[in-house]
Order: sequence, then structure tokens, then C-alpha cells
Amino acid sequence: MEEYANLQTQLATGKKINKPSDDVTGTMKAMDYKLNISINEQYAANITSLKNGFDFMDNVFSSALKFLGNLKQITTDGATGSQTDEQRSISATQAAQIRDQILSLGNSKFNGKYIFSGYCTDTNSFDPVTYAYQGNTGLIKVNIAQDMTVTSNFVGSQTFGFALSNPEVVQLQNDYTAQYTPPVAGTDTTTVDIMDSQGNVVDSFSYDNVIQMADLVSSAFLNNNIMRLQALAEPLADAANHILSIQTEGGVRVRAMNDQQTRIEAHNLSLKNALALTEDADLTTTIMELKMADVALQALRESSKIVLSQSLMDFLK
Amino acid sequence: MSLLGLFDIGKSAMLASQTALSTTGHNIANAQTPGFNRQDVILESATPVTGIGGLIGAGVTVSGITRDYNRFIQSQLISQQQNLGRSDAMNQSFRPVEEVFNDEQETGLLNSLNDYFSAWNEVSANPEGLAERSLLLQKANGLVTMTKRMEQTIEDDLGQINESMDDSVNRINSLTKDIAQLNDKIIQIEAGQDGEKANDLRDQRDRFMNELSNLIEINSYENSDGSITVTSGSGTFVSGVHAGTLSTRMNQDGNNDLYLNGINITSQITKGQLGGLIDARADIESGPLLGLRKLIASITMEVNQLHTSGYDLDGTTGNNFFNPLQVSLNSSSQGATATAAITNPDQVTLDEYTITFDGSGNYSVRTKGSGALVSSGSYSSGNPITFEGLRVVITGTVTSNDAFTISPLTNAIENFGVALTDPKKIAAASSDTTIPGDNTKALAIAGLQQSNITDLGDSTFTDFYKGIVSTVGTMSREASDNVNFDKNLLTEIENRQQSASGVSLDEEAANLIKFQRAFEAGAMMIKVTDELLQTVLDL
Repeated sequence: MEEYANLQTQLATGKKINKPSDDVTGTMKAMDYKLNISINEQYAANITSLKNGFDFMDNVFSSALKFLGNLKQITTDGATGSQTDEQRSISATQAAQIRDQILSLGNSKFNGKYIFSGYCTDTNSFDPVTYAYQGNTGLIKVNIAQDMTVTSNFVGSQTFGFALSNPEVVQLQNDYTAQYTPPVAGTDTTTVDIMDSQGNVVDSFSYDNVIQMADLVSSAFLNNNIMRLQALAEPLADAANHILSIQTEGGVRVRAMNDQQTRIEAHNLSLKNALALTEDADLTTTIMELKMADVALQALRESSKIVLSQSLMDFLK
Repeated sequence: MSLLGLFDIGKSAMLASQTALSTTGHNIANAQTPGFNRQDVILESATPVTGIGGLIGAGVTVSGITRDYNRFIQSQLISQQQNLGRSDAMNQSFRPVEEVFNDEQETGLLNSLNDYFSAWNEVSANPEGLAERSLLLQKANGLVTMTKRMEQTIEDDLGQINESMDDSVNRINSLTKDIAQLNDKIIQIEAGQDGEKANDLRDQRDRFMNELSNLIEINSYENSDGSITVTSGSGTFVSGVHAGTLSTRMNQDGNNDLYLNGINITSQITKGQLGGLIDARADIESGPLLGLRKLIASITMEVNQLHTSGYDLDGTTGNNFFNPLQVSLNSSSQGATATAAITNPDQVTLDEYTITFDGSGNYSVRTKGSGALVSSGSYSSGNPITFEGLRVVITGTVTSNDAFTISPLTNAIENFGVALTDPKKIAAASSDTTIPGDNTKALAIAGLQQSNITDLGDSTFTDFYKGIVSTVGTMSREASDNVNFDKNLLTEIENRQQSASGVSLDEEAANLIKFQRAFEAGAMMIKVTDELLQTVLDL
């Protein structure tokens, strides 16, 4: 009868294991499977939200590259020195607009967080007046597998700013040169000295990032400082390349996450199969066993009826 | 032999047959009485008398009525009843505990534990988000509730065990009184007689003995006067007409101890229902209950250790996530009191300790499980004793009989609770200059789920929990297997007893016919003798 009751429970719950003592090793395995499935689902959830973030950043970079392209064009046109006052005035305005557009991109928010500010996700990445970076340099890591993390952000100062590693000298028109000095350790500021053919410094300026570069371009147009425009051409190209490489890096991380997502899905599928094998009752088999137990019970009742009713007393009439 | 002597022969036949018929009727009437041994009439030919031609038989006498009693089978029955009682009690006790750890039915800790660490993972992916933080607090509270419910169920089961012990003790006392009374009657009836005579009383006494042996481990032997002496452990239950008293008393750990006539016999009882209950209780306390408490204590300590070094959204640090562990103290001393606290959570090993004293003013601290010495020294009242992150201060005079039990585990679940109510106070960051985006502390706490924990023997939380479930499952499986085995064995012995001493209606029906005819033959004898006498009188 207890066997009967057990089979009925199995049928009702659809599971072979209804308490640990039914199958201790099976219970242990089932627990392991469930734990791993849960952990995999955590990673999968992380990957999904990370991919949304990277999608957003990819769009930001594409827009930034477009604006930078425009800015380079304007700068190159202005660097020839053949523009009229009116044209220069228009260029200045355009450059200022691009500056503001890139500033807005640099201060992008995703899910209510400033994504280029490192750990300081509640503050603007770039100061709207000085265009200096005011976030921190923290890299936010998120788990996508045991012992595998993905850095989910890019630091604004290292993305929208580009620093040379070694000093450089570029030939400008009329025998002038521009000397670029990389930032002192701990700062992001590149200093540029424009020198005449004798090596006298005739102009100096500095910048941390492309927003400040755009600002410099705008004021160079306003002040008709053609030398500056020439000196800014190279840094703008470098910065654009840098943003492109950051965008590529983002794509690499997304590919890694996609690979991991595929692995997780496959792993979870096999885990769920194993779990079903361990704990699910095979309905056909269970129903058959139930019927057999039923028949056995019936036979027992029938035979008892026959055996119990006979006795010598029946024959002594 | 005179003619009238023939009447006596016939009469003896009729009387003997009557007795035999009564006995057969008695057997038939008691065919369904449990523990009834069928009775047989012993017929003997009467002492012959000297007469014409030598010794002439003088009829039949009933020399006694015996029961078909097999002493060996009876002692086997008693022994097996004790085993069955034990298996039965253990099986009943483990069932509810097994249900507590049954993750298949949505109880059990695994889901709550997984959900809790999942929630930390969510926070690590979005440490600024208040929604994720609120969810974490919710899941933490869910973990607390589930754990408390599990502990409550186990403690309820232990309370049930104590109650069952009380019930059994009452029944035992009533049985021993009955047995003593039966002893009295049997002694009186069989006094001066040779062999057993008080058949039905002995049957009744055997029935009581069977029930008694199911309840508690006993030894018994029969004395020459027909009474049974029943002992258990080092105490006596029944001796002659006197019955001892069994009682229970709560001991220091909150469990019932058994006292027979005032002597503690708890450790000597291993069989019978009481033996099963005592052993089941010990197994549950030292197995799943202790394991669960240790697991929760470990989770509390590990999470708090990381959390107190983290920074919340307001930039504050040093907050506990769960209520910190408290040390519980048990004292058996009359002259001294003690206080204990955790001073250095890093060094706590989640063991339980006993502090004892020798006669010369020294104390020694040992772990409860292994008895290993942890610390010792000379005792001075009021001086703190420190070991493994704990600090104990005992003040007063102590004797060598005094003992203090220190445990960070006993109240681990009772005190378990979420110490934070404000989601902003969850510390996800590792320094106050990197909030709110810093998720490194949250990452570390989420990583606890897969870390090896030193205090748990280098296994993860889940592996340790699995160990507890495995123990419970195995205990329960063993108990249910044992019950089946013991039941089958008992049935087999009972069948054997039935075939040796049970009433077979067929046999009794045949006897009925047999003795009825014998009675008729005896009556016929008297009729013939009457005719003979009539013939003589007519001369």
C-alpha cells in the first residue's frame, strides 16, 4: 500500500524524488544542477544589460566621430588662411556648436547614470564651463562567468582625450613648427608650443580633451589665429582615431559577451536536461507501475476472500 | 471392583470430557484474542485399583490444563518488539525533519540562498539603483524567514519527542503496575503447586510484557515462585509485587532525561520506543540542527565581515548587514556567573566550547565536539579568558563540578535578522570616494556564493547545506528501511508463534466432535451400568 501511495505522489507531482530519502544521491545532484542553473541565469542577466549599455555607447561614439569629422574639415579649410572674415565667423560658430555637441555626448546618461564618469556616476563627466574632466578613473567590472569579468564602462578622460606618449614635432606652413609635449604624470593636459624658424615660441596653448580642442578651434577662428588651426589638425586626427579604437574595443567586448552568452545557454540547456532526468518521473512508467500495484492489490483481496472464508465449521452442519 | 464402581468410571469419562469441552470452547472463544496461547487438557488414566484378575483401571482424570507456550519464541518476540519500537520511533521522528530540508517541495534553504546571492549580483551590476537594493533587502528577509521557519519545525519535532517520551512513560508506569498485580495473583494461585497453572493470567502478563518491551529496553526473568522480575538499565521495573516508577525530568539542554526510581538511566536505554526517541533526538540535535545553525552563523559572519568594510551610498561604513552573532552561555555553577562576547570576528571558528575546572584552581577550555584543548590557565575571578575570537569573564567561586558551555551557534538563527532597513545603507563600494558607481564590495559579497569558507571546512555554503540534506536523507532512509525490516521480522516471529500456540478453528472443531463423542460414550457407559444394576436388582 505504501508503494501505491508513493506512485500516486509521483504521478501527482510529476517528480521521481519527492523527499531526500527517496534518492539521496539524486537529491544532491539535483541541488547542484539547480545552483549552477541559478548562477548561469545571473550571468545571462548581467550580459543582457551590459550589451544594452555597449549598444548605447557605440551610438555615442559613432555620433562623436561624425562631429569630429566635420570639425576636422572646418579646421583644414580654415588652416589655409584663405577665408574671409565672414567665413571665419561662421566657422567659429560651427566649431562652437560641435564643441557643445561633443560635450553633450561626453555627459551621456544611460539608465540614469553618467556612463563616462568612472565611479562617480552621479556627476557630470565634463564641466560645462571649463570642459575639464571631473569624473574619476574607476573601471566598473561585472561578472559574466566565474573568474571572468567585463569592464562595463569607458573613462571619459581616456576616451574623449588623447595623449601622446612621446613629444612630437610637426612642420607647419612658413617654416613654423608645432611642438607637442605629453601630459605630466597625473594630468591629462597636452601642451603645444608654436615656434618660428629660429626656435622662438610665438604661441602656446594646451588641451585635455577634444571638447577643449573644439573650443580652441572656435576661438582660433574668432581671433584669426591660423597657426593654431594648423597646429590643431594633427591632434584632431589622432583623437578621432582614438575614439574609433575605443569603439572597436567595445565591439570586441560585446563579441566576448556573445560567446559567453552562447556558452551559458548551451550549458543551461544540458543542466536542465540533466535535472529533468534526475528528478522528473517518467509518466508512462509510473502509470504502468501504478496499474500493476493496483492489480496486485486486487489479487490479494480476491485470494484473501477465498482463503478466509473456509473453515471446518462450515462443514459441521 | 464393584458394579457401582462402573458408575465412577463412566462418571470420570463424562467429567473429563466436560472439562475438555470447556477448554476447547475457551480456545474457540479466544481464537482472536491477541497473545492467547491455546490450552490443552492433559488426560491421564486414574490410579488403578486391585480387583479380580489383578489391577483394574479406574477411568480417566484430568491431571492439568497446560498452555501451548513456547518460551523461546516468546523471548524472541520481546526482543524483536524492542527493536521495532526503536525503529518505529526513529522513523517517526525523522519524517518531519526531512520535510524541512525538502527543496523539492519549495521548502528548504537552497532557493532562498540562491535568490539572496542573485540579488547581490543585481546590485553589483547596478550599484546606484534603489530598486535592486530594495530587492536585496527583500530577498535577505526571505532568507531569514525561511531559516527561522526551518529551525522552528525542527524544534517543534524535538518538543514532540519530549512529549512522546512523557506519554510513553505514563503508559509504562501503568503497565508495570499491572504486571506487578498479575505477579501477585499468579504467585498466589501457583503457590505450592507444581508447574504453571495460572494459564490465562500468564497470557495476560505476556501481553503486557510485549507492549512494555515495545516501549522501552528491558531484561526479564522468571522466578521460581512464578513472578517475573523486569529490569531496565541499572534499575528495576518490577520485582515481585512491587513496581518501580519511571519519570522524566528536563535537563540543562532542555531535553527530557529518564529517571527510574530516581536514578538517571537515559544513557542506558537504546532500544524500544524510548531508546529510539532518545537516539533520534541526539542525532537531530547534533546533525541537521547544529549544521543549520553553523551555516547561518557562517553566512552572518562572512557577509558582515565584508559589509562592515564597505561604503554605502551616504559614504558611511562599518554597518552590519545581518544582526551580528551573539554568544550564548550555559552554566551549571552555583557560585559563579559568567559573561561572554565576540571580540574578534576574524578569529571565530564557529565551534562550541566547554570550560571546566580542576581541583587546583586551573581552568581548561575544550571544543565540545572533539574535546580538543583550546586554552588553559589558572583561574582568577573576574579575569577575562580569551580564545579564538571570544572573551569570557567568570566571576565567583568555582568547584571542579562546574562547567560552562559557550556557543556562538545556539542562538545563531534566533538572532538572525537583517540589520538594515534603508536600501541606501547597503555597502556596495569599497571607499567613500568612489560611490555611487563602485560595485567592488557588492561583487565580493556576491562572490561568497562560490567561495570556499574556512569555518565550514573549506566547502561552499551550498556544499555544506548539501551535506546536511544528505545526512538527513540518509538517516531517514535508514530509519524507514529498518522499520520495514523489523516489521517483517516481527510478523515472521508472530506467525511462528501462531503456528505453535495459536488456535486453529479446524483443530478445535475436530476436538469438539472428539470430546462430544467421548461424552456420549461415557453417558452410554452409565446407561449400560444402570441396566446392569437394574438386572441385579430384579433378581
